[in-house]
Amino acid sequence: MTDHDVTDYDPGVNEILERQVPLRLDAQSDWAGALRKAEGAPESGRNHRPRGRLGEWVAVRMRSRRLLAPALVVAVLVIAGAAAGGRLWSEPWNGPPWGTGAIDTTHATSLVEYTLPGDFLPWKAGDRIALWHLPQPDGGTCVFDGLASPRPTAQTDLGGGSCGKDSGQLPAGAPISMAIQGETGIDSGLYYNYLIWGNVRSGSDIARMEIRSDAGTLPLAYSHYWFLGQLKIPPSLGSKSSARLRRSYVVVGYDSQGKAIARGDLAWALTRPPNASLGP
Amino acid sequence: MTMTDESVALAALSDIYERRYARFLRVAEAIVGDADVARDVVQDAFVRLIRSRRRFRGEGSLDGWVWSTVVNTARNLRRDASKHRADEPLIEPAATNGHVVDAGVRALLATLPERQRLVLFLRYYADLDYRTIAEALEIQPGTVGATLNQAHSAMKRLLKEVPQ
Repeated sequence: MTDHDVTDYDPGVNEILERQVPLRLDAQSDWAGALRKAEGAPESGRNHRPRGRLGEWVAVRMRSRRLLAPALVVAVLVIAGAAAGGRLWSEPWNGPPWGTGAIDTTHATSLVEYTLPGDFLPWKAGDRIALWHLPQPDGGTCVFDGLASPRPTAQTDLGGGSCGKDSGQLPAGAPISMAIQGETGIDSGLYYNYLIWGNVRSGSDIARMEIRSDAGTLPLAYSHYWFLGQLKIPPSLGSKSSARLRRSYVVVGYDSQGKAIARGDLAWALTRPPNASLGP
Repeated sequence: MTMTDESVALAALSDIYERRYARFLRVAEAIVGDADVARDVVQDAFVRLIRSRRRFRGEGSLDGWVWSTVVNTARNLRRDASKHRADEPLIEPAATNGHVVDAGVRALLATLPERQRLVLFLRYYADLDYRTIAEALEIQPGTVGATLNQAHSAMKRLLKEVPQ
């Protein structure tokens, strides 16, 4: 590329183009990251405790999932107290031992089931998945996604999820808590693929839930006060020009009369690529 | 540069990636119009290149193959984004880091045929020679010169119509 055979070079055009797109010499390259994605190895920083306000959560990618999903599957982001901005879990919790990956599936119960409209590694469009509630022997609770059937009997049957001391307890004033699990995919172009799940306050009058935006609505599976759905968006939704559209993305809960009685903002989560680092 | 040995190709890819990263970003940003998305484009292009490196037979230059993948990844993304959100304006370049983006020139560039735009980007932003541009865009080297001339003429003609 340095052996120039070009003589047709217009300084005037060059001056104009130079003003359009900067040469970002300070941009940080990440060859190791590209290599990890290409070879299906886990991305760094996944099995760790997120910092800051997410510090009471642990985002986990299961070992089996790493093998099945070629590294484009990424972590779970938790929107703590979607509307109120409060804490989602009441206390920090030290188990289970993440390094050894010991999640007890003995008492797994299904919270909500959902048929995937599109692929979400390692699953395919049409697969029936579920959120599994997993009480742990030391009092903690995990919520993970996985195939709806058969019931998970080992950690390797689980996908992405989170654990906490009091899973499902919402902070005061927060009508909805949400988690976003994402991956980057390529078909005819790059896209961001999300599983969005969470719960509303137990005893709530919510009868159905959906994601609503200026682009349309997306019904969410809803059962036992938990919801689950898949959202696929173009990366351009994160661009500045899409700020208005991005702001319109909300999770909404309706009562039996069709009145919206709870909502959670998705905009901030959609501003970052699914493989963005965890934590604020 | 011709490589057929897998391990050599991987090392060569790594070398190209690290040495040309800023230029890959610049061309990708010129095509998709967003710096953050451009980073994803470059990463995904190299994920594809690493995975498909066994298919590189050395029939063209490694540089040409790499640039072709980066450009096509960016083009596909732009195409997909505009198809996905028909009512959404195409991604527009952002003015960042104090860099002033000339809206008039941006609009002018958007009126050029895609091939002319891409030849301009690869010539001026990537500093590529005719041969590598031809490989990247899968056209004849002679077509590169002709297209560049057309793009220069079009820009000069249109610039007269754009308030500076």
